[in-house]
Amino acid sequence: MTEYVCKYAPVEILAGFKEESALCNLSAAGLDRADRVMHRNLCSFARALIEHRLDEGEGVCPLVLTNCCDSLRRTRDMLFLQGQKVFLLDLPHRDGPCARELYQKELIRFIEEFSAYSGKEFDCGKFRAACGTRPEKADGPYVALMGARMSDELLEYVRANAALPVVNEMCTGNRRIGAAPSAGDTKELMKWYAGELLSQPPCMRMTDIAARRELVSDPNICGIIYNTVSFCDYYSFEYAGIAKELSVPILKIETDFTVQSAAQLKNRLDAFFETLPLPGPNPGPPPVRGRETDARRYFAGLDSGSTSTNAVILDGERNIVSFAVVPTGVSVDGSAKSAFEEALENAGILETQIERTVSTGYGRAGIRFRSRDITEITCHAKGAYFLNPRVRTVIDIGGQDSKVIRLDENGSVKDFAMNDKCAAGTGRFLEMMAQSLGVTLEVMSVCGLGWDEEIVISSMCSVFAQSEVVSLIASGKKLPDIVHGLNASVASKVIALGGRTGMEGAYMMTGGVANNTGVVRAVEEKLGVPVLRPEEPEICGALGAALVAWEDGVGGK
Amino acid sequence: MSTVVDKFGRVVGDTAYKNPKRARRLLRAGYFASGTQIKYLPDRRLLPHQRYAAVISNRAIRLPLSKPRKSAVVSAFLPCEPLHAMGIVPQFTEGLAGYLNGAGCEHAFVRFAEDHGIPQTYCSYHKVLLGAALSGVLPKPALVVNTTLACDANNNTFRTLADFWKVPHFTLDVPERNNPDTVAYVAAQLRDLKGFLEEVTGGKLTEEALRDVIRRENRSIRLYRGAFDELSGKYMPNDMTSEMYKIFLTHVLAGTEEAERYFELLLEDVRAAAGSAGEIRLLWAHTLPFWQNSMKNVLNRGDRLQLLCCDMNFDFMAELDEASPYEALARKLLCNTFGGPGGRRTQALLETAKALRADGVVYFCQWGCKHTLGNAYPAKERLEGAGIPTLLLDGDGCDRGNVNDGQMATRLQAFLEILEAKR
Repeated sequence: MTEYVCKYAPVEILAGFKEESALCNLSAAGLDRADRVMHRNLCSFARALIEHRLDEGEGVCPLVLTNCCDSLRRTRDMLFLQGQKVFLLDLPHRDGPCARELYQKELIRFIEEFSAYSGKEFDCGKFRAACGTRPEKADGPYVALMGARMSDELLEYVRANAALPVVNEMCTGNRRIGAAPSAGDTKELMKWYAGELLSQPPCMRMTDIAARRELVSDPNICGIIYNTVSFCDYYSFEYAGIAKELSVPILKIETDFTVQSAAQLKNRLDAFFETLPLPGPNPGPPPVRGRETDARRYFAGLDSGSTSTNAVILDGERNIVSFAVVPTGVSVDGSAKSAFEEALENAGILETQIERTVSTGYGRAGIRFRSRDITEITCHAKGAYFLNPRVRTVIDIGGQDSKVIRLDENGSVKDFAMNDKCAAGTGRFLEMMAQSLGVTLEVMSVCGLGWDEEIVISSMCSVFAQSEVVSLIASGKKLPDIVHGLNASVASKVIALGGRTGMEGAYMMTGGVANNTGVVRAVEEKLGVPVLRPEEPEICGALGAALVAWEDGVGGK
Repeated sequence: MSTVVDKFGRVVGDTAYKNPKRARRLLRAGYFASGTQIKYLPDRRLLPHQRYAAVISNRAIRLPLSKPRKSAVVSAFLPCEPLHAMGIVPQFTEGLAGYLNGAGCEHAFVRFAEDHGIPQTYCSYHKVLLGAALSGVLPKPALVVNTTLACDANNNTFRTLADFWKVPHFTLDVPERNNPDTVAYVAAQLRDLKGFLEEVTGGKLTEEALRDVIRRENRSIRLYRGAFDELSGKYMPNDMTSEMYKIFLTHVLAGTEEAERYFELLLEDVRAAAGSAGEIRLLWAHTLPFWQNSMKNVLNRGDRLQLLCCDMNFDFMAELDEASPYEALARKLLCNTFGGPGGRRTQALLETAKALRADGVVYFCQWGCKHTLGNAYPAKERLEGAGIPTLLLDGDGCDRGNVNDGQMATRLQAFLEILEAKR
């Protein structure tokens, strides 16, 4: 068995040696071994690859790499130093007669090297038989997976959970090798083969990427999941371009090739799948507000967040009967129960009177008494649109994440962006800074309003920003000025996040941080327009969940 | 950072978003003022070759800002000899990013770039450059030329710039291996580059003009090698900014009269320097955080410390064969220590450390430079295996907002204490 990692790898040559081969695309449970031998700020796939191969130990199979990026070149060096057999193909960055001739020679060199290593003879017949790989195609509407590679596990999840067929057009997909010519010796075959490899739909590492436009021009594309790998910078550039130009829904995710990030990614993927058109008959228009129903029917929504768990109860006419906000404790289910019971008590009704309960938020799947769960992206959108149908952009800053959600004129989610695993631009960031400043969040909410000197908090990392704040205190800067700098920093982060989705008004801020007047003011300053703020911004997600429960119970009948 | 530069940087940064052309005028005026000051009121602590480098680098940045349509935006490792032979002014973009840092406005451009989808994890030099271009502050040049050597960011950055400005673009593909086939491949591209330059500019590149440039470059290389030989027994005060200026002269200005004059002055200064007398001798890998006060306090012109050289300034020091200029330039690229396996760069560090009697190596892990980061651990292991203590120092040579200053200072000082204790 020989492993390879790139679509430009000479897989068919390995078949010519009767060598089994497999694309190596595994995520890692941890990167401890890799981190001992490589710097952390390298492509996560390269680190996961090193982890996987160090785990395998002495019996690890040979690996074929191409000279595709700095991270994989250095991976080659590292594995070579570990005594592993790694073949490197010097892949040109361009196509054309000179590049094809050079790659032809490289392929012949590889045949000689592999033959010397394995003791096997290259068989042109077997090579020919292996040629003829066509890229995946879908006959009708499909979801395109684009960008950098994704782990096999995540790819499986996408294929299993998208309601539409999924076509893999990521850097490892879309492999295209034609049928080999029936005549010619190894040298002639390699001349043809170099041309086939180099003329595939180009990855972003190639110089001429004009042909990549074809990947997004298919009218059957209903949505795009655009994946990038952390510390692989190639694909963010393409995403920035197509996100502005294309009208189909696009979800941008970033994978780090560890299993730990799967929960957050699955959350985003589920939210995206909810926005895609379902195959089959049209479900009909959504119910409208004010529809005559029984006011004595009740529906509950629960939002299990990292800081608070919120509950909202609606009646059958979609009036908010009551709500509750409780701190999230160690038990997601227990906290949800507390919030639910408090809301029931406030409403003066019994649990048995609730027809349906829909949960949302990070802990949504852990609430056992839910009728069903749905992501907070959809819920915040529904809640905000219900409160004010003019809203086109929801800025939700919660305890551990921030989101920007774009709505269309019907209140459906058009696009959204979430912060990555970093806490910068979240409620947690403000909590950390309040600790450093020795003030409460309530004080921090207003004291930045009376600032004099503009202070820029430039560190993008929360930990570094904390050091920066400590330095500012030490240098005698005034508290209102520092707080204003922090508010502006949060506002910049979230607006930068929204820049990826193309924000437009009217804007509404939701989530606990919307209670912070200083941050709201800073967001308004940066946007240059006023921002709507509901009376109870933290319950917007729970309200959306209650509206989904209402739609399920009343709207669907 | 001085208060004046701080204020200037803020004004440029704020203006860049609202009125990019005004920000450009401000920058030009600022660089003109600093250029005049360097020329007529130079820092007296600088040696003649260092003062000269400051003046030449300032001019190399200002000229393309004033006459953009006669300039080509180029990457650091592009062999600019054909451009010099045709009178095309190269805009050294990584150098420009450093200058924008010097003007205190780099973080505004980092923010601009990130707001427009450039990843946070990208090389800061390239982020600053992209922010300056995409905001409209950098003027549109006549053309864009880059290599693929040493840095993945070249592929995306220069393609993005050429697309944004809608100007002709040429990428010189430099393979990993160095053999007759790859020499022929790169030489063929250099001949294509000649045609490209002639077509875009309407000028003519004669082989004789190219040979003239190469002859000058060979004279510079001989002078530079002489300075290296001398330096092994000398103590010559140095500073990070001067070492960064040197990159202009060993790269995009290689083959110019200015570079030749610089290496003459360098050799004279080294010859005139005092003998080595027990100072700590430090070799540096990658760019230097010249803007960072905590680093400057330790590294610049220290009585007990000799900052010898950064490895970007000895990535290629062989003479070129003027008889076949295109093949010679191809070999220059293919033999560069920043190409090929990481071990090649480490070998150059090892040999230079021995030749210059370095006590230790600071391997600067520049944010976003996967080439350098990926080689960090193997380089440290190999250098230390050869008895040369090595510090891996994570930092950012171009973005003030991306460093943990206190931690860096502690690491560097602790390393110097280790070297001191070894004596």
